[in-house]
Amino acid sequence: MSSIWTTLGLAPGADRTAIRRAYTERLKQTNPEDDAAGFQALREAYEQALRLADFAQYDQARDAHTPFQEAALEDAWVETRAPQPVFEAATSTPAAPQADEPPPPDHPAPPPTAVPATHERDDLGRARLRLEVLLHAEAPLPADLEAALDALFAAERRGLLSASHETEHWLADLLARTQPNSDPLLPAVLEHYGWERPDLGADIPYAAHWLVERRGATLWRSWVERTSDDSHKAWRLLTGRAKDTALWRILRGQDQVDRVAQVLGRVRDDYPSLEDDLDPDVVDTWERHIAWRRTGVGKLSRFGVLVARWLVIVACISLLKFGGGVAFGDSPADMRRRATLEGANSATWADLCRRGAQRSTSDLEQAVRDCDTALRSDAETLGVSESRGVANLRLGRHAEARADFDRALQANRDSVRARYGRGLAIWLGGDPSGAKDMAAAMAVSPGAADEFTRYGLRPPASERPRSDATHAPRQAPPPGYAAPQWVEGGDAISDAFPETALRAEVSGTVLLNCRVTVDGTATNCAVLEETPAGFGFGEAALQASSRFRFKPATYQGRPIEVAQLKIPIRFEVR
Amino acid sequence: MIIGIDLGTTNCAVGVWRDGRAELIPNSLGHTLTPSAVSLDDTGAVLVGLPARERQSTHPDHTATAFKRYMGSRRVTRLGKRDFLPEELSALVLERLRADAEAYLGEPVTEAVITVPAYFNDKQRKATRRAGQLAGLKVERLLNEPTAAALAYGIHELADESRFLVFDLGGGTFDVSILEIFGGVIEVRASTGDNRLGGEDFNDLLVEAAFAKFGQEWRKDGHDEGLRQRVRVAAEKARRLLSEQGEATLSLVWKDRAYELPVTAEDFERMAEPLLARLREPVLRSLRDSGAQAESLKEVVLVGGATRMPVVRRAVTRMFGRFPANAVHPDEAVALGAAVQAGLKARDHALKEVVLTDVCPYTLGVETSEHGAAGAIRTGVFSPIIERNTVIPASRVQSYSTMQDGQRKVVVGVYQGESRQVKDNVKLGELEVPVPAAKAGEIQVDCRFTYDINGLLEVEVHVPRTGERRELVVIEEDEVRPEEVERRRAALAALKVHPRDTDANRAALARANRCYEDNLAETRDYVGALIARFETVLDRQDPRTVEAEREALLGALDELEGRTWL
Repeated sequence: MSSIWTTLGLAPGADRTAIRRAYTERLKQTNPEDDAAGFQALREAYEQALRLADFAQYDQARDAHTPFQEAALEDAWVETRAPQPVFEAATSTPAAPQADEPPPPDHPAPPPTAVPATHERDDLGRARLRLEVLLHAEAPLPADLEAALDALFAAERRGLLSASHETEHWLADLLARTQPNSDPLLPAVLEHYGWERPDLGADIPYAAHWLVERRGATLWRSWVERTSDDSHKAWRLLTGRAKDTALWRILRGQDQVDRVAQVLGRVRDDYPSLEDDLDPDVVDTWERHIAWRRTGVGKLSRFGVLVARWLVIVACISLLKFGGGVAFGDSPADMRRRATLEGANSATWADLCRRGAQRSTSDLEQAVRDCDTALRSDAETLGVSESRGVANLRLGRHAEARADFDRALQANRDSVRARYGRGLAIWLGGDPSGAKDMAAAMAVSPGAADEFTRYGLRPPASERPRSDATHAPRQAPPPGYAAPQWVEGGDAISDAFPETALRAEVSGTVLLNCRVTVDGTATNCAVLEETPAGFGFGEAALQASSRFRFKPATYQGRPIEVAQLKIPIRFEVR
Repeated sequence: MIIGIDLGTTNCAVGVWRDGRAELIPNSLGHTLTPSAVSLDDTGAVLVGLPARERQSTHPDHTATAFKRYMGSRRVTRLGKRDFLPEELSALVLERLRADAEAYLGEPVTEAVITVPAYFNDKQRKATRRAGQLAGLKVERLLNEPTAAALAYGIHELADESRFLVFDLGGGTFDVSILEIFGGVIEVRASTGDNRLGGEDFNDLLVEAAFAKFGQEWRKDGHDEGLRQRVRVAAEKARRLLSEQGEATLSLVWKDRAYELPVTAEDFERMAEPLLARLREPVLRSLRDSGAQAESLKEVVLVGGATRMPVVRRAVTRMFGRFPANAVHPDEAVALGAAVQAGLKARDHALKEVVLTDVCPYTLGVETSEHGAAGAIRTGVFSPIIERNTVIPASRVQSYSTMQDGQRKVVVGVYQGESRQVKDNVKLGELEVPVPAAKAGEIQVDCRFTYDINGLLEVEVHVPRTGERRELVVIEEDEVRPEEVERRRAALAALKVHPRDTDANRAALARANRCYEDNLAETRDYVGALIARFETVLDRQDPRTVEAEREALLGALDELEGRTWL
């Protein structure tokens, strides 16, 4: 560790500026042209020192924050996007220029503005919203989806680079969340961003890797569902019903088990996302089959398969005749059968309902039916409504989910899960006021969101705040006036990201109104709008505003103070 | 004296660092740009530059252009009776540039800095270096073109601390670099590009449009190289006109018939839409790789002839939300930057405090196998050793181990690219090292990759257990030995090359001949008369009348078809 500082000739712990200065000075002696080895050592020391300096700065920033922030920083996977403040000169009023310098009478025409007009950005916003709404719908028409995607790409192509970069990440995330609705769009999107192209490597959004895999998986799946070869039969078995009894184990042919093992291996190696589409119980059962086949007994059965089959069938028939005691396993299917056969008590159904709501998507319908059965025998105390709500929410039936959570709250007013779920159901149903319930639940238990986010249930990404000011007729800025330019503060916003919102993966927007002084700081900030309320976005934005730095506005080349600058800030969970 | 050479796809330029500044060297015609064209005349003598380019449509079988696109390949171009490799054609051009520089500087020139597209791989770089050797130049340095352009711009901005983007759309390649300047250090932060996108692709749009319109009539000649060339020249001319005016006509004469295709700037922009869309991706990637925001860039510097097109400038303006800088001349920046680098190399005192650091624009690594699920072995997995945009020179070691019990040798495949599958990357070579028999995983093999400042790669494989070492200065199946280079150099030197001082006359005559073929009826007769008159004057060999007549001829041709462009 010390050697890097010796190489740079600095005391350990020097800051960025000192490191850069030391590097540039030493570089003049250790020129890459003629001292390759010396340069490499210097460069490595330099890069290492910069990393250490960044880390130290990060530590300091962390120490200065509340414990909540600390937890957020440790959750390194929760990345926050640097917000992109958008300045609209027209909405800010420059402080009056000095009277002794009137604008020249024949001031030159202002250069044609190269910045895309705001309506272009609004186009992009509208296109994004439209696609998002469609993808969250029950069963969107592929043609509608494609049209919405085309509109999005067209708007993006007209827009700024920064918007395009952001849109790419946003879209990857959206498509990953809205699968399988998004499946028909994958080919076009993968093609557009070139996520499958080899030379892009690590640049592509994280979710895109998953989408590429998903695209391959759906192709493979449709192939395997169409063909009539062995893998097709094995796939049918894997997607069919689970049968796990000693009887079935023995009756299965060896080749059949092998094929299923092969197909399952293929899914796990190449298309892991397809496993989510499979019934975990069926998979479980087959895995036990496969494992059993490899044991001595299983192998034995291979030799005397015919004899054994016959023997067992005879034995089973007699067993059925005498005791009717077919062995039941512990899988939901078995539980259900047992419950039906034995006229089981409501607790069994409640259990089925709860477990079902947490299983894979294909089980959810059954889970809702199980919940209904449980409810018929009044099992409210066992949290059945809550589970039914979760299942409905996962199925995208927001209104029903809301009713479920309401019922659950009637039975148990303090249920955090029901409270959060209700809020989410309201919000996903299109009404952002659901945020209030979510925030309330998060206040009681910060982990309330975890179960929901695990299922990919999170509030829709928010839109840009619509302030009246932005829609008011524009007043052209006076000639010679240049609006303040954003210089830094993105980190401040990421740092101030409210903990509760981060955990619930809620994005938000705030519209601040600040005075921007000639030295480029923002003062007198006030929150004009905050969406959604209750998560502390407004306060976070105010906190961050002290670290904002601007290139001050200028009027005829001289820096001036801007009395009111509307600063839209976007807190976005990636 | 070291010279800096921009060896471009369509044009070349030479620069030199003198008296504390970079300047361009004019060729025998007084132009700073020399077309990258080589032609053999009827006697088998070599023509280079403008006279050669003028023969492109009249003598397609004897003329070669845009050969840089095939640099590093074994693709042979047949001119008349002789075959040429791309590097040999380049050598002929370099030879001529060297002669121009010697005439201008009045001293022998034996060393040069030559620029290459950042995306040139090891093979292409080596071929470029060989081209230099074949032209009798010691190639002191291969410099990435966008880096050179940035040097030309950055050398005036040293006082500041700033970050900027160089957007270099040349004839055949597109490069984007992000640079940062601080404390006299010019640091390339990221360099990316698309090596299959350039001004020629925009010409091809018009060529396609012409073939779409007249394809029926040209059906018989569809594969005639002469027709293609002619359309290409007409397309380029129309495209250049479109940069200045709202509409232009693509016009040509073929088999004594005139064809005309009017195009408006709007039509052209619509046609170019897919190409313009491809400009975005490399820009986005360079921003990501360097961790920079588009807003933090001080300037967007446009370089390369193709950035003169208004459609390209508009696309750039739309991307960044501001106007690009006009500070450097798009055609000259690369050569001027190469000259600055030559000055750096020669330790010019005016540049003592300036240091340039560059990056390796692509990832380099080896092929490996790994254990997949269920004990299966996956082969062909790319394991990066030097990551893209690492500052060079760089040297990195990575350790690997044997996969199988009793394995007796390890084969190291060396690749360049960004894909996880080696099959999607470019194979640079292969090397084999014996290892002692042992259990799988017990024998360690260290691979060291050393990427030097010229962008050339060395691979060293070391087995610590036995001390066995294998080295490769990458590893070409077709490694060219020094004697071979010498032999080829001698063969090229034996070619008859027209003396520099007759270039102007040859260029004028070639142009007049092309003009003759491009026109019909009375105009053709008129040009024919001009040619006859000039040839008579040439025969008299009186330098002064020749010069006056040449000017008169060029003036007449200018009137006919507008000024010659480079």
